[in-house]
Amino acid sequence: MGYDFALGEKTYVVHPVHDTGPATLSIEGSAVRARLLPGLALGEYFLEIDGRREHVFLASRGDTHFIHWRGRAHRVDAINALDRARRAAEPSGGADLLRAPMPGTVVQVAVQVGQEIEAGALLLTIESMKLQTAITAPRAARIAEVCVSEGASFDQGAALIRLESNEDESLAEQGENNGDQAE
Amino acid sequence: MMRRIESRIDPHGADFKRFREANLERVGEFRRRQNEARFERPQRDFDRLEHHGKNFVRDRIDQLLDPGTPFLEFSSLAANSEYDGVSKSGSVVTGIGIVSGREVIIRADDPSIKGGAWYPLTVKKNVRCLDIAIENRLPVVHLCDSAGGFLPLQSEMFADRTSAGRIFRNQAILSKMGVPQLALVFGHCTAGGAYIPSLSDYAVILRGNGGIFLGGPPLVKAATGEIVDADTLGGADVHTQVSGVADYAANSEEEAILLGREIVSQWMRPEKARIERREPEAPFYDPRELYGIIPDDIKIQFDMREVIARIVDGSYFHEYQPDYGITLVCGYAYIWGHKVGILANNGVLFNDSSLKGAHFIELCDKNRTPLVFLQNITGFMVGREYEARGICKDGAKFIMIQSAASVPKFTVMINSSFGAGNYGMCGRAYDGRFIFAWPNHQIAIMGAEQAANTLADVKIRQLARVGETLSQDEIEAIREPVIESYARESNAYYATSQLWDDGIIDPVDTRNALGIAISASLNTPIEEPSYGILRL
Repeated sequence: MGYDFALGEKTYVVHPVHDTGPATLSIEGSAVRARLLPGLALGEYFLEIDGRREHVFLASRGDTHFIHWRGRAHRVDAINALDRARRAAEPSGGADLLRAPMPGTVVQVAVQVGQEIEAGALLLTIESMKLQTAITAPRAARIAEVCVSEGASFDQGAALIRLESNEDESLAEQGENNGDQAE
Repeated sequence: MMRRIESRIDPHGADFKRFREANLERVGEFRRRQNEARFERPQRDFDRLEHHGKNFVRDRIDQLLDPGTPFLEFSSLAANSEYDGVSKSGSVVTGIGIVSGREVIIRADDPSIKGGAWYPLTVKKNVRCLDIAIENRLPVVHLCDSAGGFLPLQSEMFADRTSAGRIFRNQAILSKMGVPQLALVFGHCTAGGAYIPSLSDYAVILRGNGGIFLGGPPLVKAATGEIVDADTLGGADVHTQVSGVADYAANSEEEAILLGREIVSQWMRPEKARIERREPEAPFYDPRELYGIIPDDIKIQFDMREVIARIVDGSYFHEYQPDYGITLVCGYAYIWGHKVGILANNGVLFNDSSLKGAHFIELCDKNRTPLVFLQNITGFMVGREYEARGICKDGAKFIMIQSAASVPKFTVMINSSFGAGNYGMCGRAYDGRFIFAWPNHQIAIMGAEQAANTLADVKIRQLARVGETLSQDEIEAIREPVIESYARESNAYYATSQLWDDGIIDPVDTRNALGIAISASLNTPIEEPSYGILRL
C-alpha cells in the first residue's frame, strides 16, 4: 500500500497513515496532515497542509494529475507502489509448454511454427462445455511447436503449444531499459 | 487501496466493432420494448383515464418522487410473454425511489390496463416487491387503483402460498418489523385489495374516484339485494369520518400526493448497516465499452475483468487468489463508494474454482462485505475425471457457503446461466437481494443442443432394448421441438416475464442499479456469521 508520485525529475514515496477526515500522510518518511477542500469553481480546491492553506486548481486523467499552484502548472504521475514492485519483479518468461486447461476440441489454430507473437496474442481457440476459450500467449515469444490440429479432441493437461524465447528481442529489450536509465 | 485493472480491449479491433453493433441492436430492442410497456396504450385507454379525471400511473410516480432523484424500476417487462402481451409491466409499477429524502418502495397499480385488474403475474410482482421491502426494511408507498383480481384466471392467483394472500401477509410482517406503509387510494380497492389501505399505517383517499370496500356495489346487490352506490358504500367521507378505514381525504390527485409526501417526511430514517465505504469515483474505463466486450455469440469466451473494470469505482480491483481456480475471478472493489466482494465467471466451474469461490465468500461474510455475482456460467465441469475428484462435493461446498452467507448478495446475469452454475452463483432460489439481467442473457437447466441430444439418446436406448432403431428423420422430430422451446424459454425476455429476475437493464446502467440496490440493502442489519473461515 502506498504511492510513488513522480514530479519532474524526482519521485516521492507517499503512504496514507490515517485516511479518513484530514489525512495523515507519510511523505518521504515525515508525517504531514493534509486536507483537500473543494472550492466553488470546477477544479478549484483549497489544500490544507499542516494548517497552512493553499489555493490550487486540479485536473486529473486517470493517474496523471495536473496541479496549478502559485502561477505554475505541475504534472504529477501517481504510481501504485505495489504495481511498480510487481512489474520490477515480473518473471522474464512464462511456461514454455501450454497445456489444455480442460478436455475439449480445437476450433481454430491461429499461429504457425516459427511465428513471433506478442504477449496476449491469440494462439488457439478450443471448445468445451458449450464455451469457446481463447488460449493466449503468456509472454512475447516464438512458436516452437503446435501440438494439435483443428478439429482434434484432447484431454485435460494435453500439450497444445510450445513456445521458445526470442533471444534477440530480449537482448534488445535489455538495451532499451539501459537506455531509459541513462536518460 | 487497490490497483487499477489494466484493460486489454482494443476498441478499434474488428471483434469490438462487431460485438458493439450486435449489442447496440439488442439494447435498442430492449429500450423499444421497455418504452412500449411503460408508455404505449391504445388511445381509448388514455381517453378513459382522462374521462375519469385520472393521471397516468407514470405521472403519479413522477409527482411523488423527489425531483431529480433516480427511480430504480423493477421488472419493467414482467408478463411480456403472457396474456397476449396485454398486461404491460405486469399491470403494476414497482421500484425504489426517494420520497421526502427517504428510500422507499413504490407499488403503483396501472388502471390504464383492464381497470388495473391483477393478473397472476401481477400478484407475483406485488409479492416480490413486498419481499424486497421486508428483506431490505424499505417503507412502502402504495398507489392503489385496481379493479381487483382478473377473475377468468383466479385459480392461478388465489389459493397458493405465494398467491394474493401473501401480499397482505407481507404487509402485516412489515408492520411487525416496524417498517411503515402509506396507501394513496386513487381508485377502487375492492375485495382483497381493500386490505392494502387497511393494513397500511397511513391511508389517504381521494374524494370521488377513491373507494374501499370488501364487496363492491354489484356484489352487494347479488349477495343481499341491497342497492347502494360506490361513494356511499366506501367513499372518502365514509372512511375518513365514519369507519376509520382511511385517515385523510383529498380533493385531487395532486393534493393526495403532496399529503403523501408530507406523511413520508414524518418517518424516521433508518440507520445503515456499517460496511467499508469511501468517496465514490466513476470507473476509469468507459462503461459504454461494455457493448464491444460482450460477444455476439454466447459460446465465445470473454474476460470478466473487462466487465468489472467498467462497473466499479475507478476501475480498481484487488484480485484474490489470482493464480488459483482461474475460471472464477474473485476480488474486492467499490461500487458507488460501497465495498463489495465480486465473484465473476471466466469459464466453467472446476473443483478448484468452486473451492476458491466458497473460501472467498467466507472471507466477505466475516469482513461484512456485500457480495456481487456476475454470472456467465455454462455449468460445473462434467466427466469421469471430475466426478472422481468430487466435483459434486466441491460444488456442494460452494452452494452451502453461498446459501448461508449473511451479507447481502446481488446477482447480475451478464451472459449465460446454465445448470447448477446458476445455483452456485446465487440464482433466484438463493435469496439474493436483487437480480438484474442484461438483454443478451440466456438461462436454462442445460444448453438446447445438450437437452435435445439427451432426450433423443434416451429414446434411442429405449427402442434398442426392444430391438428397434430410429431413422434420422425420427431423431430430428424429437430434437426439433426441444430446440424450439429452448429458444423461446431460455431468453432474457421470457425469464423477466416470469419474474425470474428483478428486471432487464442496459449494461451501462449496471453500476447505478447496483449502487441503489446496495444502499437499500444496508437498511437491514447484517447478522454475525457463526463459524470461522475454513481454508478449503
